[in-house]
Amino acid sequence: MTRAAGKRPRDDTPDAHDFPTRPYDLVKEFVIALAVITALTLVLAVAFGSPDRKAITLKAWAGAAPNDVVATATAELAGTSGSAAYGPPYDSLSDGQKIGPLPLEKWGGVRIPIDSANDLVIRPLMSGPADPKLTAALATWRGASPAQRTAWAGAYADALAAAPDSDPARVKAGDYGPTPVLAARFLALARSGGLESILVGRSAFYPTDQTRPMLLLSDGAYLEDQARAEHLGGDQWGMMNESGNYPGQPWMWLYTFWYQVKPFSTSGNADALVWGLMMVLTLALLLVPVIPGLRSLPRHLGVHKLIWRDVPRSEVVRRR
Amino acid sequence: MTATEPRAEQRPPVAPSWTSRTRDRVRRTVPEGQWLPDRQPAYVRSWIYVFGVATLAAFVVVLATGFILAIEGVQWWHESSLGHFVNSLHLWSVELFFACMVVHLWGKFFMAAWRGKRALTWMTGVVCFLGSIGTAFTGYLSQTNFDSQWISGQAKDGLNAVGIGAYFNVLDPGQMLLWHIVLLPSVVGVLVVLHLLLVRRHGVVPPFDAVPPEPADAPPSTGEVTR
Amino acid sequence: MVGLPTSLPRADAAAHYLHWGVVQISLANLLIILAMIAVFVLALVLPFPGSRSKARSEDESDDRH
Repeated sequence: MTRAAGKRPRDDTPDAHDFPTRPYDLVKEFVIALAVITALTLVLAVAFGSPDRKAITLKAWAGAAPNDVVATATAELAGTSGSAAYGPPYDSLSDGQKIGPLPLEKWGGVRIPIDSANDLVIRPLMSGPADPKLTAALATWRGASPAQRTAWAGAYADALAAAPDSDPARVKAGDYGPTPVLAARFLALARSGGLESILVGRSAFYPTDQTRPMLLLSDGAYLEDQARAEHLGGDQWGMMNESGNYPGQPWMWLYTFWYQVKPFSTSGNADALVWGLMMVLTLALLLVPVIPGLRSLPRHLGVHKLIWRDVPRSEVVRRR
Repeated sequence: MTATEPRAEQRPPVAPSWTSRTRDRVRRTVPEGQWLPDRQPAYVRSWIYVFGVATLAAFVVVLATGFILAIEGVQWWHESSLGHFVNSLHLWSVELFFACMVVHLWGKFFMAAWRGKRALTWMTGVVCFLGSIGTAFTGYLSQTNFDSQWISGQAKDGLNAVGIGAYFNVLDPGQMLLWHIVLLPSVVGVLVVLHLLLVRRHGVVPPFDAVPPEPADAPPSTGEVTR
Repeated sequence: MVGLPTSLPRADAAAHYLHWGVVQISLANLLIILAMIAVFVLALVLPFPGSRSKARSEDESDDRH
């Protein structure tokens, strides 16, 4: 076979079935592999177990960080919480993230509509236990204009932030409208243990969708504080990690790596950009066989010489 | 030819049916005798070759332990120490599954195992890898504990950012559990079958620049040659 | 959580993390990655049963069987 100098011909790998063979018991190999893997699994499970840190209930949150609950409820009412002007799929108050000019988040559409102030705070308060003070506060709130509500709640949010330890009891006097009462009653509702059911249940008996309680919990600082304490934060390579000393997901190393470095670490579009980049790299991994240069890299790296060093000439002839 | 099959010359000529075409297609997919051969090319001679079957074995253990967890339901492992132990088995078999799969991928890369019309074998393998990551991800979401809360809260931002979150709600454990135990394992299962089929069809990739030796130089065959 | 009584590190204890510049990695993850690399290298260098010496003796023998 002639070749142009320096150019390798198209793939002329011979048929594997033409080579000399030797007996090999595939079924026995599988059974041995199964036994070994099962044994290893048993040993590792007995030695290390698995993590099971209890979910944070809204009642537990209220008990551990009551000031955070009050501040979060206030932020929902003020429209300044993370979920309040999130954008799609919850609302259209922002366009969300883009890759370059492509508004991917917007294209997803508002398919899980959530009105943070009403869905997460006001309606639960309305369906929870009532007392005259709460009823009056709700009436005042619902009778006010959106601008008035934002002014009241915004001012209260600022006052809480300025108070020592964000303690509602040590907030300076000001014009906060019914916000302090609403936030305090919301905390009481959370403490009662009934808040999840009210948020999730609405009129359903078998709800499984935890979107509302999760958005509320994620809007607070407590969940994130607990996660960061275990190195689970996005800028802590958290995607790879697990609670305690357990192994996490080492295979996520490259996905989480980009979040640690610029420009992603300082970009408002980080999620979309990292996803886009990882899609490109994944496509490259998939298409290795057809990418010139990349597909011939293994030949030059030479690791194959170790793999096939024991193959004698009687079984394989190397051509040059 | 079996006793029940009519002799070829006695069968009247008939236009090929969908059934016969499908049967012939299936037969041609893998060379005769290669579905479960009892011989391997002699160049398959390194420990690196065991990691594919190790991954498959780990997959079986993952499925079996998942099956047991499914019998008692999602909350069992929080309430029962046996349940917790089975969960631990499930976790560690998954770690072994990924470890073996990645070592297998490294080996196949350094062998350039896509040579000789094996591009699709490589590609189905990569898609198995990706499908497994998705399955593991939905598994973490199905733990119904603190990790599920944190992971779902974080993941929603990534998926929402590219529009996927509108259709795939990681904050809905009911949906995520079904993806984890029904949809994604089925997809991974089908891909594993395709991947294995392709390996049986093409055989193990020969070394770089290898050609079969001339018949005079070839070693004697032992036992029945199933080619 | 089931665990052996004494010698092995408690997996539910506070985690150990290592830092090198922008890299932060848990000890558990690092050990897994190092173990995988070690297993890969061993798989490449450890002789496989029925390898060269046995094949050579088959070549050299005159028996056709």
